[in-house]
Amino acid sequence: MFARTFGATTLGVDGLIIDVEVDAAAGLPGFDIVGLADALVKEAKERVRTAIRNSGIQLRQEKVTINLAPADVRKDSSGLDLPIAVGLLAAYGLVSAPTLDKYLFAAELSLEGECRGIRGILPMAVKAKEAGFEAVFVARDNVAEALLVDGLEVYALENLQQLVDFLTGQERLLPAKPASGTAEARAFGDDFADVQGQFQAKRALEIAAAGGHNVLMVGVPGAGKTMLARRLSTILPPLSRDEALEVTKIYSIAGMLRGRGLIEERPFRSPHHTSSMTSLIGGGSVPRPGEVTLAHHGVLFLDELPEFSKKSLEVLREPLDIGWRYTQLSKPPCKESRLTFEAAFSFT
Amino acid sequence: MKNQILGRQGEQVAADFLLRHGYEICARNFRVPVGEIDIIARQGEVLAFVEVKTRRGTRYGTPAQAVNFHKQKKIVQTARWFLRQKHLEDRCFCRFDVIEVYALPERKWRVHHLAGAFEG
Repeated sequence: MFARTFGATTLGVDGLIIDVEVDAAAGLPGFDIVGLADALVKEAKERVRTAIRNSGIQLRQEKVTINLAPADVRKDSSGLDLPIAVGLLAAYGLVSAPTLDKYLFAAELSLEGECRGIRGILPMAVKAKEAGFEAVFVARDNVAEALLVDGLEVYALENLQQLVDFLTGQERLLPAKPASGTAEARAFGDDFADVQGQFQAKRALEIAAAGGHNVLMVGVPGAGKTMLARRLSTILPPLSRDEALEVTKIYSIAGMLRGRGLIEERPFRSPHHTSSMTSLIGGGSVPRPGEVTLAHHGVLFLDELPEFSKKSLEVLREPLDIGWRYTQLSKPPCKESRLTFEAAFSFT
Repeated sequence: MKNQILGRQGEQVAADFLLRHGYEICARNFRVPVGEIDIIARQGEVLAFVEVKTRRGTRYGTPAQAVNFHKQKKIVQTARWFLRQKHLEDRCFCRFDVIEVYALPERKWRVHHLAGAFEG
């Protein structure tokens, strides 16, 4: 039988909805995943089958073919485990297929059938909302992140069994509620307010912070360049909700969110001067955000500026000049990176 | 020579085992140029291609371990041949089984059926 479910992967800094088509038919038993799946997604085969078996469901061996559409995009999210598992169960007629097109599934499965968090949930949830899905099913670790999208029901899953019970109507699941946290006052470890003296440097940084200018600090070792630079992001205005969402999306894709919800502080990035060009600017065949993108709406601090390789500095010129850069040249998704550059070096 | 006799006896034991469990034997020692399948049995709409391995002990590994990748491929190819011959391609559910038969003293046998041991 045929079944279709929906999952998602990330592309650049955006999510992309993936149609997971599953067909189980008579013939020699087999299990194939097609549709430009990364090694990570190919391995879903073992995880999904073992997880289903360990959830107490025995599937008869059939000729199973799984297609991930659109076929021309490389899929590199382990979050496709769950839609594949659900699709498989639907193809065997164990869960009813008609309700599935309203839901988006995104979680990795353990061999035991437990759901694990993945990176990139926020952009996927944003895309799911845009595409008109009613609800997303994510692992418990990802709930806070998925809840950042308004008007989308989020279900937290412990394991596959729970989802099967829900889809077959044996158990009810309640959509997760955002934790009603009180707005905390911004507290910084390193605060600009703590700096004593340094009037001229402080004034320069204040002007830069107010106008979003770039700063070059020059001084003898120990003059306080690094100390001041680390504190610059604390006098920048708080992120607006849209800005915070953009920043959170980037950190979600980079896998640096670790269960946190919205990022509300401005990022401060300080790459070491031995950083490679790619780590600064991002990119690669599977595009990953670089330091420039991670400092989006925040501060990129280049300590010991002249120690950076000429090539690295040259690639930073374009984003410095026009304020944004593409994460990938050939594909449409692009990333704006508005940030304040800061550079410091000392005369010795 | 003694091993061959043991093997034949083991296949008979396995066939009896399958019959007792509600299978219908379609073919025994189905042999084509690419290989041989010990037993082809049917239960409902599922066709099982069974490789029987008989051993006196596990000193040289379990019998199922002897069905290595090479052997599996041969069985799958033979199964394809069978399906084509009987015009059953994509019309029945197939399964590849291994039946381990242990020869115990005093002409007793122990049978271990691994249903769906591998896939094509």
